[in-house]
Amino acid sequence: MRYDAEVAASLREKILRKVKTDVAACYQCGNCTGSCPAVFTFDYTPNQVMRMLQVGLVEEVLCSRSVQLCVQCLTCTARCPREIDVAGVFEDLKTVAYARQLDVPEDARVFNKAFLDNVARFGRLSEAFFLLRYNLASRHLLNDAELGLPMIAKGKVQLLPRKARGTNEVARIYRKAVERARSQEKVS
Amino acid sequence: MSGLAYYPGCSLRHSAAEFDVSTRVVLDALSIEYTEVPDWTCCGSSPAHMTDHLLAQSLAARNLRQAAMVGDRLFAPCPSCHQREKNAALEIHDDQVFRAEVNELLDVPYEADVSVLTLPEVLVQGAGPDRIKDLVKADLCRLRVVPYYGCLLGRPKVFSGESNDEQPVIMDVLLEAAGADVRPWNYKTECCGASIGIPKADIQRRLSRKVLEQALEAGAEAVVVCCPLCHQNLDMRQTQINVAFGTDLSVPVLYLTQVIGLAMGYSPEQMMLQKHFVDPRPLVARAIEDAVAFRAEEARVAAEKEARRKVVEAARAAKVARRAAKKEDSEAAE
Amino acid sequence: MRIGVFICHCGTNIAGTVDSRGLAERAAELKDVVHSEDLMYTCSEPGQAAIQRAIKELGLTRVVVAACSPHMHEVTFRRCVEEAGLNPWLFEMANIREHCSWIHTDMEKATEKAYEIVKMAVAKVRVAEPLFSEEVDVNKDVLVIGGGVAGIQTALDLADAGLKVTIVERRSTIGGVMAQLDKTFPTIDCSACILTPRMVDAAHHENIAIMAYSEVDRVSGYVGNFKVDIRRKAAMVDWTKCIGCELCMQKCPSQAPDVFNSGLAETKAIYIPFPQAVPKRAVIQTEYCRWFQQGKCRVCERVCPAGAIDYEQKEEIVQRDFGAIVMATGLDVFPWQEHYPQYGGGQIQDVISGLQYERMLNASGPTGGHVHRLSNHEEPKTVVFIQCVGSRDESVGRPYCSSVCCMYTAKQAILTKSHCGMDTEVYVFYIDIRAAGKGYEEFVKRAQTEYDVKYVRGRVSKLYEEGGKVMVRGVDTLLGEQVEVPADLVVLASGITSADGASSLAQTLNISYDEYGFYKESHPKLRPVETNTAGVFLAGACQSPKDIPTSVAQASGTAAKVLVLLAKDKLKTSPLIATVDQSRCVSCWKCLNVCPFSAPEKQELRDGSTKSHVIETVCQGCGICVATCPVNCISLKGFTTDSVIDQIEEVLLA
Repeated sequence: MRYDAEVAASLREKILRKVKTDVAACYQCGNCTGSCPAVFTFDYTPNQVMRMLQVGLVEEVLCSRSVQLCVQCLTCTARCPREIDVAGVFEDLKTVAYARQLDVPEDARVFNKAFLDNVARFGRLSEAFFLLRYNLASRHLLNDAELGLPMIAKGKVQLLPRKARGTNEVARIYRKAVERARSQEKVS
Repeated sequence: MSGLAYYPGCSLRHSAAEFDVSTRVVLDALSIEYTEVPDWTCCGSSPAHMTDHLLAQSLAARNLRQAAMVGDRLFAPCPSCHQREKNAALEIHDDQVFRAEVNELLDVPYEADVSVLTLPEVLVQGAGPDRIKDLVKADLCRLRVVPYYGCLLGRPKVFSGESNDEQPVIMDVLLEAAGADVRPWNYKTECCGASIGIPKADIQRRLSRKVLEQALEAGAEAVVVCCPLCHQNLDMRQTQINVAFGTDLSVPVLYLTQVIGLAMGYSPEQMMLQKHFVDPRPLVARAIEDAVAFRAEEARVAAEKEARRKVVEAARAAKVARRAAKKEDSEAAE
Repeated sequence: MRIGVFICHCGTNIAGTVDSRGLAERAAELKDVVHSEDLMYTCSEPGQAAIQRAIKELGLTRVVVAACSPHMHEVTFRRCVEEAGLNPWLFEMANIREHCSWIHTDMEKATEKAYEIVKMAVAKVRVAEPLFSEEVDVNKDVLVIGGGVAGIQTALDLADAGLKVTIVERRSTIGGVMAQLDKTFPTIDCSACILTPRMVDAAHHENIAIMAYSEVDRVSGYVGNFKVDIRRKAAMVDWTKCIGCELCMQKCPSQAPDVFNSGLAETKAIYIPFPQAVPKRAVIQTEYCRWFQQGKCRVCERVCPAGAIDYEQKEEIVQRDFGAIVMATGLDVFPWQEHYPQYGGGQIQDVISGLQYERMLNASGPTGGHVHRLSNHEEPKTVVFIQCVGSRDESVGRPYCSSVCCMYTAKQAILTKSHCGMDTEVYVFYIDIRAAGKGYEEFVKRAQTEYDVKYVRGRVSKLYEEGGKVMVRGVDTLLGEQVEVPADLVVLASGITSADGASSLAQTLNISYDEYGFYKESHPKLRPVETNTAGVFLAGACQSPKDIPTSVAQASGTAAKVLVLLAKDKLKTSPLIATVDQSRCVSCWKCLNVCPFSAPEKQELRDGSTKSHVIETVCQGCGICVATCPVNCISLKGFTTDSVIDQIEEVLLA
């Protein structure tokens, strides 16, 4: 395995655009991994992801499940002794993976898409429709099925969604943002 | 507080309606004026900022723009909405180039400078713990609770202004003002699982179970939250937790504003406690009943102590008087 | 006026960016310059020889060397010209390296700038006057502030060399942190056993006076002649009578926090810190004493067989003179409770610091050497050590490594096994193992192999209580997994910080300190025991975190440096001092008020007027009075106002 200096250099410029701290500062103490509530679903632990970025294994990281499954609870960032915004790194990786349209088979991806499509359609999240759509798309048809009736009985579900007035603007924002993100990735 | 815009967010409309209702009731009771953001739309929450940065900031900016029509401050009870709105507000205010990028995506540009608050901040700044204390009618001193902040209410420190993000205190202060028995614990900000509840249910159940068990370990009988997703994970999914692990948990999960509302004398039904999956009403009723007996016992013990003190005082006074008399006698004898 | 200019190449350090040869040719054209040459390495022997040759053969009356920073070699060249017969203050150094070649890349522009710098130096040296040092008497007594192992070592070395040493220690006994330790790594020597003989030596040495329970309040004067106000705090016990029998301690009804036992136990309001204390005398902590707080009790007075209790005792300020001062104020433990809420913030009983654990392991400590949980007093079956608490952690403002924790954790892990049995599970969570000293790596290996201590590489992110245990949630980065250990006792290897009050003491002494309160050495590589304040030296952990062998070695080094200073009977003072033009002085006394060294004095002249006069031997040449004087009548020798204006004009009016 060769350490690719060029890849590592483009990391800061093109990928970690938002993150203010340098991944080079990470001394692999593993506090992020120790704090992460979702680590048991990850293929690479957070400190391993940081290490992979340090050596330039960017493609592997972008396709990893870890990046998709991070819930952004921010505990890693809160506890890092080198004050690295670890959650910020993960967030940037998520958005780059999305913009590059990398195919990562993870239900979290499906979840996000179903959510945003729903919001673009109704302006506000219509929970019932969204969950239905998610269950279909993720092929977990009976997910949370037992909660459906009690939720309806308690009046916590809006069965017939109404569109908010600003829905069209929201849909436009979604479309424009996605186009922009994808075209920027093609250029770089 | 002038110009306060209320952003309920998608959850508060339906699945967390009790949070919305109890918040409105409490704000009205505290005479905090607010106007709902006109034609607000979804802020995008986690899915948006995990998909694209500009998308997320733009969805949030749209709401800031709408809020600017009715005020200069926006507050969102849902911590995720608050995070999104505040994050967007700060980045847009700091970076005019970025503001222009965002405005390209909006139909009508956002030109104002709206500041963003959490619900506890509104309660503290708009009324304050003392005012809440003044309005307390029901005695909750026997309602043992722990405040569960979740991931996003105290963190990051730069947002929340808390002096440390492992032990935030704003909810504790408000709950103490409401008169509840707030237990200290070290699990205030450990994640309940958040949005992973749907794609990876087994992990979320494990995490939420831990929160509930730590609450019991701390001597609490109920968990108080300020986030609709935490509430959902801890309350709605509590049966799922029991099924998955064979546990027998029955821990009511209350919203901060419900507890404050109950303290102010509103009924459990007015606070919509019946909408919960784990019914808190028996616990609340019992706590209020216990409080009466508790206070009575307190008063009795105090009265006893006072009576004893009087007896000791009297004895001491008598002793002093006797000594003085004796001295007089001996002096007179000389 | 015959000025000689020498331009250095410094290899390529200067010549790589500045045309030294060309510069030498141009300098030859300057007014009054009779000789100009370029040299490869001016500071080297041939370089210096060239300068001396030029002085002698060409009768040079002024010399300019354009080379590196005066901080590097000004002293070298002054000596060089002095040996050749020229007054050393008729020499000027032009910095064309740090101020020019090292910070620029454009050769043409850099050379032009270097030329201007050389011109300025020539202009300055043209108006320079010969200056002469004065000699002052030197007081050979030494003050050592701090009676820990470093302070004791320095004091013993100096006392053995024949100097009179005073140790001022703010606690009631000397010994410092080392006295609190149980065993020392890597030999597992008993700490008190190796320290107390030294403490007793110091107490009995005819050349050492120990002022315990005292603090330094004020320091004035200058190297060789310091005047120090020492505050003897009121112990409320007459130490000339107290025999250290500890009867008062036994009978005292009031509890007080026990600092020596690091908060693991309580002591009494009247106390002697530990049985081998030197001096072994009692002290009353008035804030916990019933007599001082409530007007009741006085039991100690009744039981004291020596009649030593004195509630009326007042603190006393004594003044002493010293020639040199050694700072040996030691360290404190990082207050982790305030900074690590994820470790319970001090609320979880069974989570303690390394020093507290040390006291627990100690046979003369509050538990008699028995290791037990604080919550239920049972012996622990699983003990977890966490390294790097308050060290290598920017999020709590301590990015540095405390240097001793890896070693003391290994030691405590080994001792745990021997105190509680080999079947006790002991874990150490680490990021790196720093075992650089002699025998240190082998010691850690012993812990891992002979004593079966389980080392886990990863930080601990959270501690929480569950089912009576302290759950340790951390990570094994080498396996790539989050791990949880249910522990009975957790020991945090809390890092080293500067001693409480270190920074304000530094201000009293006029020495520099860094953002953590550690005192600044003169040069991190070459002058580690001196400060930039002449006559004040450093020894031990007050300079930076270090272990005992290093502290002791450094302390002896400090003693050597002090001996170098005080080996002469007289000290030469620097002639770069301020002088007052009394004909223009308006007696406003601003100079007197701003001088940090109290050098200006009010001098009555024969005509009856009172004018300012700078005491030549006190002035340190800082120039504050020069800048402050509203009528500009104070001048700094070697940096006269005229010379400064000349330099400015040279550049601007070229």
